[in-house]
Amino acid sequence: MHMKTIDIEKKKSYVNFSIGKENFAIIVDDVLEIINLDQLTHVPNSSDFVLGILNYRGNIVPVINLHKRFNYIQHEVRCDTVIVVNVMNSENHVLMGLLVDEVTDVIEFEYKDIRTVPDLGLKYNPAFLEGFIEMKEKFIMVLNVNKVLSVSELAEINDLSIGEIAKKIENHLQPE
Amino acid sequence: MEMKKRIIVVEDFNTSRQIIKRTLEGMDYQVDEAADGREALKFFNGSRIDLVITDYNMPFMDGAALVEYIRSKDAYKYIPILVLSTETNVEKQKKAREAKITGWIKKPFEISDFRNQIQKILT
Amino acid sequence: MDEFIESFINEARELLFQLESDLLLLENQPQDNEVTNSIFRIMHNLKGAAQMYGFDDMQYLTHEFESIFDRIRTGELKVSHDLIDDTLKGKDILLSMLDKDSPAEKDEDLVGQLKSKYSGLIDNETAGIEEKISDKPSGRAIYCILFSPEKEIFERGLNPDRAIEEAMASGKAKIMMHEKKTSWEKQKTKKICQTTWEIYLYSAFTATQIEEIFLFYDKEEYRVFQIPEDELDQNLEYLDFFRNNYGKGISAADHVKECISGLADGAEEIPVLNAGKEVDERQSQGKLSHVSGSTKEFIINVSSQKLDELMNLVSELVISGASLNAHATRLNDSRLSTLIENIDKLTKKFRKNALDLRLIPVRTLLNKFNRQIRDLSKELNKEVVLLVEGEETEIDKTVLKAIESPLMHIIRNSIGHGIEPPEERIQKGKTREGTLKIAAFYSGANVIIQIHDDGCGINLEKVKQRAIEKGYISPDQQITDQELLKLIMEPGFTTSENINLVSGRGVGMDVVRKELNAIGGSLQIDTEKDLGTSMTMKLPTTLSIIDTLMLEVNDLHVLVPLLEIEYCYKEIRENIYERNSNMLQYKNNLVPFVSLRRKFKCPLNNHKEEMVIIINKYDKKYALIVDDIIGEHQAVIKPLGGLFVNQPYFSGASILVDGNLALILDTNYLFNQSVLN
Repeated sequence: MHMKTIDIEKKKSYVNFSIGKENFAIIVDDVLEIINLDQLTHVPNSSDFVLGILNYRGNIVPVINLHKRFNYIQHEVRCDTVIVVNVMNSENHVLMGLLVDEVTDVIEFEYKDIRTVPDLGLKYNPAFLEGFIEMKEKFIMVLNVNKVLSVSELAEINDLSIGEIAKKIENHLQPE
Repeated sequence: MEMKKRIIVVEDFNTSRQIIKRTLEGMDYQVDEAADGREALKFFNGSRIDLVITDYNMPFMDGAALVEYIRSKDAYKYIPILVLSTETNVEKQKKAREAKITGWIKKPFEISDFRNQIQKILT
Repeated sequence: MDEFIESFINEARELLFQLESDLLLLENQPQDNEVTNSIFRIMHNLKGAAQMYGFDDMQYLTHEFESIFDRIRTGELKVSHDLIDDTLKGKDILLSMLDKDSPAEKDEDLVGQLKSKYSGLIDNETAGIEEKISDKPSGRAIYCILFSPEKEIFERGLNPDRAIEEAMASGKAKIMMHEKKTSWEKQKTKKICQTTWEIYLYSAFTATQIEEIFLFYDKEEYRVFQIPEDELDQNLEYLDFFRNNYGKGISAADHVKECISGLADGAEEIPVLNAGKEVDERQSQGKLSHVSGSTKEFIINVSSQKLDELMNLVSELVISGASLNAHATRLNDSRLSTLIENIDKLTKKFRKNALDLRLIPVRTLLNKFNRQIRDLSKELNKEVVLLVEGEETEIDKTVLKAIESPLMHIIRNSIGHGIEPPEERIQKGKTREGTLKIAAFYSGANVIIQIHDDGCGINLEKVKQRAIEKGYISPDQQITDQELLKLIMEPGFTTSENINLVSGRGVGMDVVRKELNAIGGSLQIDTEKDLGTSMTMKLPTTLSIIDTLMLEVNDLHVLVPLLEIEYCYKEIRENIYERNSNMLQYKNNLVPFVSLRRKFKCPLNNHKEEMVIIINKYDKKYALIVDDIIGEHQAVIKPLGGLFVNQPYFSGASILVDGNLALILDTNYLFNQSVLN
């Protein structure tokens, strides 16, 4: 368990992507590549949120459906873009693929600009969520990819649905 | 140019074997090694051997059997064979004659003593 | 000599390791001569080397053991449990003696104890009392040497001429040769010696130095006298010789006088042995590559990194070869195909050899545990019998290293918490001794290591309570046994009060799970009250390449190891399901079958026929029902990764020629499934 010192004033780049209505961002450092979903091999009897595996430069990479991961019930998603990320999973580096609708752009902001969710009256800030950021009239939820994909965080994610969080943020941002 | 004298060293304990080999090579002899009697057999194929140094207690084929084998070959009936041993028992040393061994090298040995013995035989 | 010391220490360690194995084996097979010999040899070698490198304590201890085991060899002493115990203790002490940094456990008494315990009279093996001829400290002396080599002296590799030469070179000498039967020259050609020499020598050498000339000769073959000290004309031995070689015409005294006359005359240069001769040691060039001293085979230590690189290259070669092959087939050029077939064969051989480099039989690990299991059982007053199955199963080097710690931990748990004390077992109607069984075998692309004890099983009630205490579950929550068992692997979860004794505090199953996950393995726990507990480790045989048959199930490509397939045939669907059970007819037998389409929940198709693959694993037969066979595929096994550890059907994946993926079937799991249905 190592602590990364975060320079809160330095501007960092984040990859902004969308799944359905929601917008998310993950730090560029974690992202390896953004590829088109070509061939996905489904693995029978695996967890719901794992769509299958793909061959990324000779590596077996599992592809995660963030919707399912977040228990986010939504209409059929036209996902064909995969963000390949390099995450820490119990002290090992592993590759994982996130299935998303679209990668919008790469944005920059400072760590201190991220606002935390407890501000909104929620019980706690889920570990997978760094917070959210306001940008161009929309809000973007900043994800900690390591926590999102960490197997042991599964329980927490099941508890809290992204949908709820999104609603709360929306409500908060809308002037009463 | 005179050819180097060739010595076969048979000893199962690797460290000892390497010390012996290095010492002999330092005296400008050619050394071939084996870790036990069985392995050593291949050397006695008629090619020239000037001296055999072997341990007595070895797996698979011990020193006594090896010496017997070597002496059974015409080519090697009269070559000097030295046997390494920690035995100080006089009884055993007497057996050298019966076993057709040239002599015993007591383990552990002082390198200078060892050199002298070898020189005695090979010069 | 430093590099030699290091090499000696390394080799000594390996010998001690071997010693332990041998001792444990001897305990169970006290009549085994081979093992006794091996132990004797180890002590013998260690003794010699220890003295050479100044490990005095080690020398004395090994000398003691060497004597003891020598007498066991000759049958004078019998093997006893006490002896094994003491020798094992001795082995530990010897091991600590190798550590020059840490002070060795001084057990001065051990040598004494051994002496008195295993027969008071251990032959001290003092060198035979040799007659010491007084050494004249300086000055010159006259010596008389009687030299009579045996007839077959040449057959000992000795030529008396050499000794004579050396004698002549040590001073001024007068030599008489007494040839019997034929001339010495003739004798030499016949390689027999029927000659004696009488040498009178005026030399500055000491008597010891003179004797050294005859280093390789038997004491009976030469005698060295000092004149006048030994008074030759009074000395019986000399007189004996004299009478045998000379007639009555002259008296011994006169003869001696005549021989030594003139010897000491003149101030001639007499060579003096250069006593303090410095022989220059040639500096060693380059490092001596460590060749481990196992007498059974030559073992070379290769860095893991080099092996990894080699394996990567091999894998790439295999994949490239496959592509090349596919391409060539398309081109339909027969000559090219033949050439490629050759390359294919060579590649296969190459990869087999490279693979084998990394594979080590599990046995090496299990042997290590033998001793620890024995000691632990004793310490905890449990009686445990260890059964091992499949110890020749080979695992990748790195995997083997990685499972050492978790495996040991599981074993400790079994002995510490699983197997009950003998009295309790008898009360329960069980055998006095508990059984710890470790089995290793292959399954698909995995190696399975199963540790089973027939102890009291895991107390699920306690686990549940603990889980509630720790807040993992709520008091009224419904939870299955399997889920409870999974909870055991959560951090900080230990129900034992004796955490310090056996497994250490909180260093529980969570560490085991983590360590296994790190190498892509997993752990499953099964338990039954009073019947015992089974811990099953599933390990990848990473970077293995296996020959497989590629099968089609819906749109999925599935791989099955070729070796496990006995037979394949097409069958009409109705015939398969006609029995309304999961058995089908194969060669006059009924075998269970599994339809992969159904297992994988694929939509049903309307094909009339299905493909039946008969799998034969260690004589357990069952059938896989699939859509079709696609072909053979040399699969480079890639682990699926942490997210799939709990998924039971597949043990890995393989990249196909076109870049797509195929999944490797876990044939063991499916067998269990087929039987259960």
